[in-house]
Amino acid sequence: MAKNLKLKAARAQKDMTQAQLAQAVGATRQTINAIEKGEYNPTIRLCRAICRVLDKTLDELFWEEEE
Amino acid sequence: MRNPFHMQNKLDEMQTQKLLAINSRGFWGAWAALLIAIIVQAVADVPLEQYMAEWVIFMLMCVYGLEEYLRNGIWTSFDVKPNAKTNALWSVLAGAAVIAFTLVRNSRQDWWQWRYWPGAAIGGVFTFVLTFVVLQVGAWLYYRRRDTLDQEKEDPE
Repeated sequence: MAKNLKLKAARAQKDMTQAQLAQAVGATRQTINAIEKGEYNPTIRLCRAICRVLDKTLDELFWEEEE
Repeated sequence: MRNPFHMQNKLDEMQTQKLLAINSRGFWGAWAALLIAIIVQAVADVPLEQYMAEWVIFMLMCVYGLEEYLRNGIWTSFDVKPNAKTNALWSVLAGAAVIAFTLVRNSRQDWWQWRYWPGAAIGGVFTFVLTFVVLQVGAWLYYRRRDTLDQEKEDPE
């Protein structure tokens, strides 16, 4: 799975650490780190929670263009 | 009334998935360890009473797994369409395992002597037939359950 750089960028835009984002969505920092590294495929429920906190849409953070 | 024994899951979803993976490895590890322990003791001609507890626990694990798999319409992770051919293949493997087990247990180092083979062959054939029948019945129950699960009505809204 590819790294999720869009998520990392959106989090940086909001000036949030992984720990802060994790706390805001009710997850652990380990999980947010794994999502950003592409090591964990989150459920739609967690994706939506992340989008809400970062003011982004699912497409903006989780859609991958086909190569 | 609130269940006093209910413990809320405080883990997040990735931790929960990891926990389930750990539990699954633990279940199958214990299952395999019990099977090996039972086979080793049976080959060593240990009286059955001495490993009855292992056997009972092993069988409980088998029954639990079988019942839950069938109830949820699952056959195996690598096969969703069991048929007579694959069931026969697994049954042949089970029969061959019993032949090897019986030969080793009854003959020790003299397995190559022909007098030990008829008994082992009878055990192997019996195991093949029994395994095949059980797998066929299991597959029939599995397909019946799959039909029920797949035909559940959609939510009208």
